[in-house]
Amino acid sequence: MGRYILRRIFLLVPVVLGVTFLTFALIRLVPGDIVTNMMGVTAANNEELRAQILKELGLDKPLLQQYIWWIGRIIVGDFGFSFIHGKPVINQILSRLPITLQLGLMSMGMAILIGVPLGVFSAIRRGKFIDIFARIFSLLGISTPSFFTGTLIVVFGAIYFPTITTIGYVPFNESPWESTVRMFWPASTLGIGIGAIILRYTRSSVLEVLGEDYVRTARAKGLSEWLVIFVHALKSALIPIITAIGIWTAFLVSGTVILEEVFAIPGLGRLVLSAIENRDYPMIQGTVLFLSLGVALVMLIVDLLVALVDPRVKL
Amino acid sequence: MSINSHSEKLLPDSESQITEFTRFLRQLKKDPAMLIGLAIVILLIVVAVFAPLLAHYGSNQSTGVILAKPSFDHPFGTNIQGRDLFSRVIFGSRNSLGVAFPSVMIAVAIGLPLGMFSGYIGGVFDRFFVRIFDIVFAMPTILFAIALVAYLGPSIRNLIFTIAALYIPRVALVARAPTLTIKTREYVLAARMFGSGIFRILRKHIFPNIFAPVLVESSLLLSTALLTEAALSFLGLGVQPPHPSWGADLGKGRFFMELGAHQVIFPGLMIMFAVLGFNLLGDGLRDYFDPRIRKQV
Repeated sequence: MGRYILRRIFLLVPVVLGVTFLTFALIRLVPGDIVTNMMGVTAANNEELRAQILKELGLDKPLLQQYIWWIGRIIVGDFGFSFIHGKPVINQILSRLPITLQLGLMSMGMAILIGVPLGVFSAIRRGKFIDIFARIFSLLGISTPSFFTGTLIVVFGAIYFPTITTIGYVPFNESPWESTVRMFWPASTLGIGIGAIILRYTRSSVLEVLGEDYVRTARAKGLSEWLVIFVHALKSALIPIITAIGIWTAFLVSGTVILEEVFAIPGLGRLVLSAIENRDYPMIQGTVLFLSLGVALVMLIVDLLVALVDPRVKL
Repeated sequence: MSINSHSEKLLPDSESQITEFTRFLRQLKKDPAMLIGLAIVILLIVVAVFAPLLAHYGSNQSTGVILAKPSFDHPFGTNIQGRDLFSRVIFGSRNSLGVAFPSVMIAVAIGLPLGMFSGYIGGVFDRFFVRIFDIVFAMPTILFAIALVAYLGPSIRNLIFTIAALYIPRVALVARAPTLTIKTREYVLAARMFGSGIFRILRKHIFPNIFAPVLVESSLLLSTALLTEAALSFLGLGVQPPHPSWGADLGKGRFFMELGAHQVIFPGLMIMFAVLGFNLLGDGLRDYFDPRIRKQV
């Protein structure tokens, strides 16, 4: 067990290095003078300020040297200093993290609740009504942009159901019920979108498993159909699904950025967007890095989970 | 046993009398979803190409009627600036498809050879690239697209490069997988033994087998490229005003939606329609090239 975990964590290192390198190096693509971009011409001419900013962004020395310096900072938890806000980037990130986390967890939860059961039933009742319905639903779900559905919910909700507030955020510790209800709207929007992807994947995974020999054997043994499907087949079918959750988390993060804008939720996604508006490059860098590392972490956890569940993996 | 059936039994499958095109047409008949998808895609291309002939107004022409409801004169109504939404949607197809197609084509042009060479050559070269591919593949595309566009500045050209750069690893991995299986086949080993150069082997043996999976992937990437461009334009980071784009018009209309829902509904439906078309086509192609189904045709 220990060996596998260590090996898997060891594999995480190049991914982390790669992600940090990408988010760090990309800022060098900014055309023109980055300091002028950030602070305007008058401020940029201030030599001291310019030197400070360039040092902060990691632009004053050669790439490799700067990269090592950057990694050192990340390890300590220093994600940079925002000159627009005047505070360390990590503070803003951590204060908004629980909000995005709540949205993410609720969305993923709803997506799994919608996608997996529908996918399973679509597979076992192939060709019947539930299958056709599920496939149409999944096709529409992946084709509809989340910002379209979200916008419709917000505005039609406001026009026809003015008593129900669909936008904004209520902190969880203030009122758990109100917070969850408020979060329900963006979470379900994202949940439907990702649930559609999960549905297709579950359906094909279950279909594949149902064709396997051991399922045929179980049926031949005389086991009840329910037992065959839900105990034997589903166990194997769930493994690739759990693995895929790591990949879907990436879609989730992309989706939260957009939906936080639509539903006016003060989370990490909104932070990135406002940072872009303000040309707050340290903030952009820090937030993108943080989110990417988060996704990588989720993938690690998911892989370890699969290792526990999958009997084929030698622990 | 007539002579005809005897000679048909002697011919291997790949040399049967049915051409690929005929096979494809038969599949279209059997799979209505793919037919619909293909029809939608062709329709979109036609609309984009013949846009000036189909739109009644210019995309930025002020018609003097602000926020008109859909009518015969303005099938999709007008927006807050008095511009005809129907025309904007039609011209918007040029920008939306004009971002999606080039970015996927660039991704394939770079990714396919990259994946093919990487898979065939193997070794450290391959392992290095696969690492990079896996990293970019796993990361949230829209997040990185937003960051890249934020750095480079929003423009159609930057949008194309950004999306293409993020899609190259996907195409490369799709091209690499069949390469790995084929390069160990006997006929490849035989060809190498007879002195065939690497390019000849790649061209004759590997590329024909990569073509199908890459085509399927491209169709699906076109749909996500469309969605990505729409999302970025919606956030104001894609196609810039006053240029028309389905996502941008949706984003702009959102702020004035209580004055007229048509501003949001029609661009949104257009995005759905287009993405649905590419998805149906991609799914159909995937089923078409599936070896289990191929044998039946």
